[in-house]
Amino acid sequence: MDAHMNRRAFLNRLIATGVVYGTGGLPFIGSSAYASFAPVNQTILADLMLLGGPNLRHLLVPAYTSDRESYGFKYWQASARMHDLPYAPSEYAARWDSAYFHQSFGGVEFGILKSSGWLKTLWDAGQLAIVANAYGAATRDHEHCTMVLDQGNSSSGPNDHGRSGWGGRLATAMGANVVAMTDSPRPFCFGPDANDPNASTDTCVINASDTRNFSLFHPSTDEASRWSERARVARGLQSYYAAKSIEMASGSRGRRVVDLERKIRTFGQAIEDRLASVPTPDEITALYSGNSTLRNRGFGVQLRNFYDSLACNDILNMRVASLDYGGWDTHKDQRADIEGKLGDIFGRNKGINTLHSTLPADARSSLVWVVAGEFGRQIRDNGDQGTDHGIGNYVLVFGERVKGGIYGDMFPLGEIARLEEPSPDIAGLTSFDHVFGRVCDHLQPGAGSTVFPQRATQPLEAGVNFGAMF
Amino acid sequence: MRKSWLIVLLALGLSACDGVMLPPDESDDKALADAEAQELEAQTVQAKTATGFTTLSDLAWNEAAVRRVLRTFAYGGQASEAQISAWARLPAREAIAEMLTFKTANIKLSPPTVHDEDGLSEMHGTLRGLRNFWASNYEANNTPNARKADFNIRAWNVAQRVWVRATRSRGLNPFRQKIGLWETNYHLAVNNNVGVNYPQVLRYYDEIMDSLAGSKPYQQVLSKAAQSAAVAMQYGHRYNRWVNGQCECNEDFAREYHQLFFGILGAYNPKVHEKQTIKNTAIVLTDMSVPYSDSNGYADLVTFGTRYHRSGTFVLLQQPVVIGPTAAEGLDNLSEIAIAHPESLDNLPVKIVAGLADDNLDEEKIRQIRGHWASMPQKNLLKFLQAYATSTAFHNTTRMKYLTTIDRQMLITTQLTFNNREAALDLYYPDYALNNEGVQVFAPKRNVFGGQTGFDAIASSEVFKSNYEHSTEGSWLYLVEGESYGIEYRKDFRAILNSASTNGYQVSKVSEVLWNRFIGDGLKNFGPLERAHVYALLARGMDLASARDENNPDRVFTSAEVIKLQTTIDSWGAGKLDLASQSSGRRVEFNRRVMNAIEFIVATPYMFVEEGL
Repeated sequence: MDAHMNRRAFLNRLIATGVVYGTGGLPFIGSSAYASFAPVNQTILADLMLLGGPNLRHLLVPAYTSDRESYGFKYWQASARMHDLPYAPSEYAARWDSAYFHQSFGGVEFGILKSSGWLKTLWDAGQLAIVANAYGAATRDHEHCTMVLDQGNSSSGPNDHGRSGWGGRLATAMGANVVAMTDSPRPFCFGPDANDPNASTDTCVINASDTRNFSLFHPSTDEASRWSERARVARGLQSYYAAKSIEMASGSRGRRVVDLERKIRTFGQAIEDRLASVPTPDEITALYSGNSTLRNRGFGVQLRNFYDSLACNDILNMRVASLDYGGWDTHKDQRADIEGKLGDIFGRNKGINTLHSTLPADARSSLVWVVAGEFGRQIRDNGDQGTDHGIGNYVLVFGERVKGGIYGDMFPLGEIARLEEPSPDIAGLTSFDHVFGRVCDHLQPGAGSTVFPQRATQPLEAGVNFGAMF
Repeated sequence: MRKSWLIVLLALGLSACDGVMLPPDESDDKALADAEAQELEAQTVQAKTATGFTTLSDLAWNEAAVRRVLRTFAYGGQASEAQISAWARLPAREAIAEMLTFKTANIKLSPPTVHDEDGLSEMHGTLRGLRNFWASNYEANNTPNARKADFNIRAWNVAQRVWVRATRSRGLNPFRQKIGLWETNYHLAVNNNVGVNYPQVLRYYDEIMDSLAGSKPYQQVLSKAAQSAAVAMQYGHRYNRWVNGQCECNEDFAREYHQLFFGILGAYNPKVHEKQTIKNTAIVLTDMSVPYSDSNGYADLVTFGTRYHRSGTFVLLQQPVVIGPTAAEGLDNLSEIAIAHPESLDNLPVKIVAGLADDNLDEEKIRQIRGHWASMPQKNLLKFLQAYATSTAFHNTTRMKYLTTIDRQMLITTQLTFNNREAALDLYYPDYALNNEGVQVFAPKRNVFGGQTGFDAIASSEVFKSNYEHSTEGSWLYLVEGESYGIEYRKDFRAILNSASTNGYQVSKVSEVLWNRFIGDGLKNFGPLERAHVYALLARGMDLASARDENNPDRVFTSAEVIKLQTTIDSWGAGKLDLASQSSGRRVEFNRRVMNAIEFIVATPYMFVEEGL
């Protein structure tokens, strides 16, 4: 380094040489010419993970029928307590009529929970794909099944925490980045380590947990502030990290921290500059402000971060976005617990609907959403007005590019016979690999087999073909 | 067969180089049978000797090793430099027996200062006892009057407040609190934000730690935890009832008892585990009510009833287990089976080590961990951790642990708190930092499998940014003089800096003490670049670039450039801090420089990750 290289020049050199970003996605700061919301020219995956094992059979129920031997009766009888109903067919019928939009598709009669009204809008528009009987792991263990879902790797055992996530593998395959809207990036985001299949790297990950406060403190240059205590420590640290970023070996234990500092410093200023001309829409602010329209304001903040990240998608080189929403472990009082959460996400003028309504058309149409949880729940309620851990579940894929429909048997008749068995669940028939792999193929042709190399050998429900999903 | 013979020879301590002839490839049947028998015997001997941990040699047990243990297991501890040297001179096993205990007080690890007259080491320092004391009007209680109400049992976030203060107070035991946090916020997590009240969580914590301090076998500790009101509230099995020949139950804790508490996921037979063990465990958990009163809310103890409990003998984990008249006896009996289950033997010790000390376990370390655990006839957590903390598996180049927000903040606050008056005044209280990083003690991020992990923290820009800004923009958190609750204070770093051993507060010596105090790596990572920055702050009261040229404060110095400036840097290192000045203004100035150096040190990458060697 020449004797008088200052930090800005130093930073530019780092960006130009790709020191920070290795072989992953490169930031496009130098070519960023947009003063406001940047155009979105490529498809972006929005992965929303529901933590805790969401009972999506509560969201999408079979039509009630009075025939006591039918699936439509057996379901409501076995689920009466979780719906907060007495054992009375008239109550099942009333609940079916009052709480669900009635839908029909290919001879299947089902309902969409009315508090998730925006989902019906999507369905009516032909933009919602419902994948039935999907699963990743069968242990019914939160930690293990969450790990398998994040990693998209059904071969991972309970101690295989370090492996890459499928979002990270996809982004790496596309030469782009995963942007995590969450407090901390999910394992879903981490890319593959070329030297170790059991390790991962965060080279392709950008954590945008607070897009409106992204940059690091830098002391002002006025004379009064210049020699303050905080200024002297801040200058020292900035200089120290700048040097470390070129000196510290890639395998060093502190390297991840040094890289994180570089990312925050690099993207922070560029994002702040961009967002200075992109005000947060009032509708978005309402999702997380004091009088939030959502029960979970943290989810509102994630949606704000997503809005901002889309506005800066050129800077971030974002092709994958990661969001999550927790609290779906509904062992007790399921109805009271789950419907508000579903409403936060899928309600009209709530979470995702609000985000979509405020986005420019190109950004909105670029999004492919995948919503999944680590496992489904049992098909007979427990003694506590809830449901216990199961295996199979629905996965929802939606967006303007998605061709809606039902993939798999929403209500397998075989479940009726199992209702009286201990711990009856929705059988896992279709591996996540097939669902997510198809999404990957849409984002980049051929990527599905790279991201999910075991896909061809994984279970797929008979008659299901994801070829027409997009 | 040649390989077999080689193994036999090696087992006998022989080799071809000793002049022993290798047997021919073709041999008669008897010779083959003998050889195979000997091979089997040799392999058995090898397995036996390879089981468990290898204790660190006396040579390798030094001050750096002691500091590593303290940093990992006790937030750095509060032991004096002299005590650390003394432990380093003892054989590892003797030292560790003094360093790591579960008693409420360990005055070698956390010695009271001469100014600490609150007598914490003399009282029964459970969280409940301490909360009661700090809320009281006892004369010895040094809590400012304005602060006492915050220790009332219903005060917001009181459980976190008591735990934080207990951890950094002198005369107690930060190791006990470290393990208590892991048990109640990770391994056996309960959550204040999902219906577990403060009395319940405090009792839960105390009873687990008292059981451990009483050297109870680990399965009995886990059984005690499983019988708590906190767990009954968290998982809802307090409503489990046996009525009309049916279990009106939820299976939440029936499953987590096996998975979380003992590490049994059901791989032994998923169908049997699902349809028999979990179902029957739900029955074990019947009639465990938590009484409620309008005046006190939910009680902190479970009432074990018989009316809605199903007794008898049930098959659990493929073994018949006698379920007594109440759930308590059933859990005690089941825990004895669970702790010996092969899946638990495999997973539980790995979970303990991964949770506390190593994010980079490999097959060899896992083999040692499992081997040691399996070799303990009675599973005792303290003995296991003591053995691990003095083993080559812990003091190992491959070991690495990313610090959680709580680990890092508690390390900083524990090392910055010099006496119990400072703790009482909430100086360097990490509440603000924890909140900024989205963390709350006793309200873990994940309801079931616990709080923020090191993996969460290391990848989070919010965590990095928060830590960075506490040292810079938020440096008011680290003031050296001021007022708290109407009481003035002034920091004096002579409390931790010995004049003689630092050659009269020489900059280079002071720097090393500070680096070791907060980073605890035996100066491994305190290289020329780190020294240059820390020396500049201490010797010149300026950042490195400004100290070199006030007109070019934005200049970046690399290590290579720093080495070229070695004469200047050395001269800074030789300078002395006037911490004992007669001038109070000058004393404050030099104490401030020390604090700035600490702010720098705790914002370096090494504060986020610890290494095994």
